[in-house]
Amino acid sequence: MTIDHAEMCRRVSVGRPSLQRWIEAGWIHAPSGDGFVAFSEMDVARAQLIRDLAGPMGVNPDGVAVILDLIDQIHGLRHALRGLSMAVGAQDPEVRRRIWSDAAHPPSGPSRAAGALGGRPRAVL
Amino acid sequence: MAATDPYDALGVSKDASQKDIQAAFRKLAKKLHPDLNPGDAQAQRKFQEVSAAYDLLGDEEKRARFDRGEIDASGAERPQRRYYRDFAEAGGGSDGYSQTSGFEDFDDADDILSSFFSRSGRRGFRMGGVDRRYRLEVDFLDAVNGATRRIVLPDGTSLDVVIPPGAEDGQVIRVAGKGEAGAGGGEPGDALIEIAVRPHPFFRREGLNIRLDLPISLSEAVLGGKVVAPTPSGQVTVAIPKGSNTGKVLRLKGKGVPGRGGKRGDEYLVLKIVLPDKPDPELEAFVSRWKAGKTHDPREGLKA
Repeated sequence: MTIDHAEMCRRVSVGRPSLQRWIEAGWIHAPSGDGFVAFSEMDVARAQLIRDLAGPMGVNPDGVAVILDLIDQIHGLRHALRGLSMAVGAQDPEVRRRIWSDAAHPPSGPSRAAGALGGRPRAVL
Repeated sequence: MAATDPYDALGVSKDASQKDIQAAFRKLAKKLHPDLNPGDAQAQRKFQEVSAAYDLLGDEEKRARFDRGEIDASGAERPQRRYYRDFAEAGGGSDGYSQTSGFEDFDDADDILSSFFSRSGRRGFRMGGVDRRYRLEVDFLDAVNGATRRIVLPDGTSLDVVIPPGAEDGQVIRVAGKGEAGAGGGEPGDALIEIAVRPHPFFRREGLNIRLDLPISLSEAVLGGKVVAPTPSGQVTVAIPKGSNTGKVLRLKGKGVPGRGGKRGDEYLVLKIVLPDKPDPELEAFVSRWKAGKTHDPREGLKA
């Protein structure tokens, strides 16, 4: 079923004005076309998180904005990291071993820069 | 889920004040909320437990009933809930909420990781905004000659739409960046404005050409003469040849609709002889004396 404003408010146990404020703040996207709004299950879960934060957890609006922003960054990073892990996982065992070992003890940044500038050549295992 | 003692779950004593209970819950929730711990599989179970405890003890009335033994802790269990992290993780950044700013600085370094991140970032995280569609009714002549029309978007901002000369009915004008906002640094969508051209009371459009029924008087038809005819770009004087019949077509070169590459269509005038509204005794007298009029058979071509 489609989730309109009323259904969203019911599922999240929140009043329409609050939902409207969240949408205006950009915390929840209101996907609209021709004045019709249909939220996704993801929007509902996100709204429930906002309700938890702003309600029982007592976070003020500025705090909610900061938290959401950081959470969004974390999910972006997690997705990238997951992709990278999978890509590494698909390599030959020897390549994998070298990558993980370098990741644990990264070749220092400046030496790479020097290598890029034509300084000492990059260390090869 | 096994019902733990709610006081234990929140780590408060039986005689804790409502304020203490709230404070204890807030402290735990900030630590345990699954969405604040996207990678911690345990967080959900723990948070569920703490929330259930708070549902019970956070409400003074429920707490009193629990203390009197009227309800037990399991009564406060919440239905299973899907947390935001479940979607954000599965959505893989195509959800429109997650951001690339967490690794934008990686772009500076010339290394393999940065290229990976920026590539995956562009592909996976940034989401362009959705295009928005509008319909704009324009007058026939505005479509032919071009015009600028201001429309007000749903967000209250206005947008000047430039209608190019020669715009056609159903033509869609794309205004870049005026659709829905993008997400995670993604480009906004475009506004797609479909042009609906209103009909004109006397001009008809056929591709780049304009057709117009041009009424002429009987004397103009018989004797010829100069008449004024409208075109989309203004009035012009047209010479009607002597003896012009109804249905005769005159072409006004280059007076049609502007097309691509400086090309311009033509206007076609379809002549139509119109008698005066009121019967004219002099005309009747003349025609009844006019012998050739009686022998001329205009329907000769219809004979089988």
